[in-house]
Amino acid sequence: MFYDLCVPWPKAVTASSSFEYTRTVGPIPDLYRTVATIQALGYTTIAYEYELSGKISSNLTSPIQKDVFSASLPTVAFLSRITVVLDDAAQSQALPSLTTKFDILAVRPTTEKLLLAACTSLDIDLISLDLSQRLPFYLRHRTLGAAVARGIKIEICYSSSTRQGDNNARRNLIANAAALFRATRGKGIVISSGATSALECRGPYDVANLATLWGFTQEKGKAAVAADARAVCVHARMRRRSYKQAVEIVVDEDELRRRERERAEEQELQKRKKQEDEDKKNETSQRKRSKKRKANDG
Amino acid sequence: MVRFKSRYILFTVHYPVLTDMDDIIPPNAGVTNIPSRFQTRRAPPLSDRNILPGGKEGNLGKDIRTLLQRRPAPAGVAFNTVNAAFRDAVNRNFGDLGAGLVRASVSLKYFSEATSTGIIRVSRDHYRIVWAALTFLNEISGVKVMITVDHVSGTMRKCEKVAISKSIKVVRELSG
Repeated sequence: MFYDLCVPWPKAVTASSSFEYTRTVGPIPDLYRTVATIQALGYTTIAYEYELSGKISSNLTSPIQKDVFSASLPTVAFLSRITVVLDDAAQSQALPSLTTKFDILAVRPTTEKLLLAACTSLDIDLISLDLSQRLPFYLRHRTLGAAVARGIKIEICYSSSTRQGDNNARRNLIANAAALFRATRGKGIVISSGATSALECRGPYDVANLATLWGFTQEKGKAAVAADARAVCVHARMRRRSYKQAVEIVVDEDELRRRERERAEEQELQKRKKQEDEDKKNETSQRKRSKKRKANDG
Repeated sequence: MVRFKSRYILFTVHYPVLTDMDDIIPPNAGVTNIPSRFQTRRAPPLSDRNILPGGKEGNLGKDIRTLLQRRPAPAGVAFNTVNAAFRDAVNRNFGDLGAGLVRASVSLKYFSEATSTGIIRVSRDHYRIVWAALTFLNEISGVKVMITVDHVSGTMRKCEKVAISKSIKVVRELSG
């Protein structure tokens, strides 16, 4: 069970030569290649990322079609995720409006103040800093520790280190990842790919090995693509569907049916066991009787 | 007695963005006495039009997805180029210090062009350097590649076993 929580939804160049997210229902071959590769590497949950900078409009629609490839990759669970680039404190008020539109809510604070706000008060799932650039502020244990205590994870996207020919980004990533490790003591870190091409993703164990270079232990590195990443999904689900992250009413009919079946099977099994026990008892008593008879004969 | 301890790294080279499946000559193309069902089938070309709107696939099925991951090496990827590429990657990512640390012990023990798998031997203390270098590697003599490590072990025999079992799994998947 491995999780890749960041696969950017492809952008297309529009007529005005500005980047815009593709909204068409059609072949997205590069994305398919990427997702199929990630699946083949052993990941079971993939989250598409939509990055939003600037003002959050109330009629924002998600460009992500979560289930484009569900038919051909049935073993993978797809999620949608939005990353809001926070550069204004006013943006944080609009964050709750995104709850119904995306599964996972991540923010990318650009100043230390906003990072503090994200860590201590915002209702989000994930903090994703751009680690391929030099961070404009120093990462404090106090700030990030607050996030970890609240169950908010911090993300490292490794694709800038596996991308071709960008030595500076690779160096920045290593520096920043080591700084993150120092500031969080290795707790609450999630590693995801951020791969825009199939070449940039790596297998989960390779990622765990990369994490050992940044100071993590092998187990923590593995947890960063498995258990901790799962915690993000659970956190997101609880944020969306529960009351105060504590109570959730779930009516899962499949599950109910399955339990019913299991109960029936168990009863059947117990019945059979009883029967077998009785059979055995009979057998042993018979044997004893025959032994006695033999003894009497002798 | 204390002996020199080493690690053997079993890795697979993937070519996720290579679209020309046609240029591969099946390794047993010239052999005629193999029953037809055991001969390598020529894979249909991987073209993007195979993916239909809504994510449905044309003939790009499960088989091709497996082949996308594990396939024979294209021209240019061979024992000596892989050898040069990973040494270069150690050099580039870990500098003189890293290259010096592993230089005495590192060697490419095996590389199979038919399955794109190989085994590297390196001293136990520094195997993570070589592993990370393999992870950072993204080009072998002009071919875009992605390398994953399948197994790390203390003996070559164990690596061999894992490689064989993986190949068997792939063959089973391909033959249904």
